[in-house]
Amino acid sequence: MSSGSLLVIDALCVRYDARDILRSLSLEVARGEMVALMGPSGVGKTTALRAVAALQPFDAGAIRIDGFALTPGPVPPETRLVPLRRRVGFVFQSHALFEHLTALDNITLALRHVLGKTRTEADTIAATLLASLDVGARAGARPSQLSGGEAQRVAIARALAPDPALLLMDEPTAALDPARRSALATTLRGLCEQGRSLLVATHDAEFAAHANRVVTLI
Amino acid sequence: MIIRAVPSQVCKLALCLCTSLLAQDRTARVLVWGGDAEGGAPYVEADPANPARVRGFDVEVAERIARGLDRGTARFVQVQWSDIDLSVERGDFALGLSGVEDTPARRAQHAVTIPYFEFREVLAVRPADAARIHSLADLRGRRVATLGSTIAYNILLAARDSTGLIAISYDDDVHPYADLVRGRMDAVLLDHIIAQRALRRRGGIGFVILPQPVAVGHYVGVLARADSALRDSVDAVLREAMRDGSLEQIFRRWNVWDETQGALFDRVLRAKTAMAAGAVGPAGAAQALAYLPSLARAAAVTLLVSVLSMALAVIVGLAVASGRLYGSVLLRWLTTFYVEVIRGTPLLLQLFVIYYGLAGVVRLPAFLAAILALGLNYAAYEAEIYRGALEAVPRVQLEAARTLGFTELQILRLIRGPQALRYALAPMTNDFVAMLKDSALVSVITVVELTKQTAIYATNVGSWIVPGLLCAAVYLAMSLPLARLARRLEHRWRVGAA
Repeated sequence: MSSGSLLVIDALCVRYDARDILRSLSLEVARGEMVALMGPSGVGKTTALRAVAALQPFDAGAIRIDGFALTPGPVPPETRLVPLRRRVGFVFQSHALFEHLTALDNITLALRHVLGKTRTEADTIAATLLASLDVGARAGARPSQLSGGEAQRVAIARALAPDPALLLMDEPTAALDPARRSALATTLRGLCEQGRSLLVATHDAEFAAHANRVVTLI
Repeated sequence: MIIRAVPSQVCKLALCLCTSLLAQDRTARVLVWGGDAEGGAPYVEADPANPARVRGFDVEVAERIARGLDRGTARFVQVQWSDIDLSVERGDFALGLSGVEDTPARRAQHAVTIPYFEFREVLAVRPADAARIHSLADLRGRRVATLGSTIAYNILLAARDSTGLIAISYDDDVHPYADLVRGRMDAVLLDHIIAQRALRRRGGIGFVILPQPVAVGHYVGVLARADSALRDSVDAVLREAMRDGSLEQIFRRWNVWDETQGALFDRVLRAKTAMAAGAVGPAGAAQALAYLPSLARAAAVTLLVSVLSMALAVIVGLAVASGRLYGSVLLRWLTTFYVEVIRGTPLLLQLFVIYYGLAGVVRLPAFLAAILALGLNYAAYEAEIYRGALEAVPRVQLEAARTLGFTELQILRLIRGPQALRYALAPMTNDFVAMLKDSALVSVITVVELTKQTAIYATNVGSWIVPGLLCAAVYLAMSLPLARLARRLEHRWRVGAA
């Protein structure tokens, strides 16, 4: 294990119904590094991301994110996960934007109610993020009014708003055309240059080529 | 073929004729009369020695009339007291007797006999109040109970406007006195026979009957409007019974004879025309207009009861649903138990338990009891709606919220709850419309709401057509805008989500 790694996954095992979903996965992601997690469907890419985000339990191994350790067994209560939540952002494959809120409110909600920002501060951060991802004009739209690409970028903006050190992304290019994929890759490279680490599960080899490293699960 | 067919048709015709004649003969020899045994003695009650039979002075009056009509026997038909007029017009029986009051409205709608008993409307008050309450004028701002759809109720309605008392209508003549003793009512106005019976049942304690009557009325028999010929025959029998002393003997047997009855008999035997007494209601087309203010008041009560009950149902329903989804094992068990018990028992029973059952522990005002019963009942259904709606919010939405650091309470308040509201809105609207109608049940604990007021109106005018249409129109006027608002909200949210 490297002491400079932001994320360390060591011999991670996840079983479900007596079936091994993940068997002894080990990987590290350094600060400012983008790692692509590849492999065929069902190999456990999403499971690995969910385990790192403490959305599901794992059976063996260890996960450490910037000093915060997750251990095998049930997922800890949210009250004990606060340090993890401040360090890790998650972009879901289905983007999972809050359906009852506008794009802007999707981003400001956590800023105001979790991080205690004022409405004005939250709006400024959200507007800046949306503009940087080229969806500033869609701030007032609801998720159902956004295209797949727009929704994906709003979801990235939402995950980035609390300024996490590590961003987990599950199939971020699934709903994007080739031009958008390339633009997204450029955006993500820019995030890495700002010092953020990215672990991206993807099927898209062309997109994965933009990563610093590719880890293939078999 | 024709030759064979003709005798066959003749046989059938003859058979029908014979059957019809036999039926007519059977009917003619029995006087079918209707009354309400729930009213009890001394009018009509189930015979303790043989509950299949009825007894009481009205039973004996009916038997005397049957003998006088040369019909041999009288057959009793049970009917709710407030429905006697409607049932006699329907032809369920020929004669209605059961403390039926003589009113101008009844005489205008039906064939009514001569009066055969004179009663006094008397006030009953608690012993401590007897020194300062002498008449209705002393009851300003006080709650005065009586039986709905009676002369006494009309007297109280008139006094409400003139003296400012609060008229409370009951569906029976037992609970007004029970509530008087408990302190829920300040006085009861009813027939002296009923008051004396209630006092006897309480061993002569709990309340006193004021000696000065508020009004005087008469009991009569009621027949269908088309049966005036039979009514004249019944009148002749009643006059004969007054003359030969048989009616006096009946009343003496039931301890209801007093000197006023003898005076009534003298007046009736001297007079040619019938005498209607008691409160005079409006007649003709003015009736509908005259009842509109009371219907409007009752509609306001319905709306207020429904809105407050629904507010309670929403609050308790949310708490129960949250308990079922987020609570400990014990809380989940308790909330599930609550839902199942409330859903598995009748609302009517819950109303009685809260109003009468708990009276020994806490004396809830009727309005509050109504809101509690309706609200707690609907809370069980609301809880299931909210639980279903909360569970319908996609799991990934909750996971996304967790990754952003929201607490479970924040997720419920900011994300899960608002999204679930969209799913819950349609069934909630449905429940509120149902509650507007279910609120009619609260009349059993003396809250006069729209349906009860309509029933009073219908009884007074002797028809359900105009009151029923008016009542339906008011209910629709309350429920349609609500349904429209809900549809608009659903549409707006759907557009927002489209």
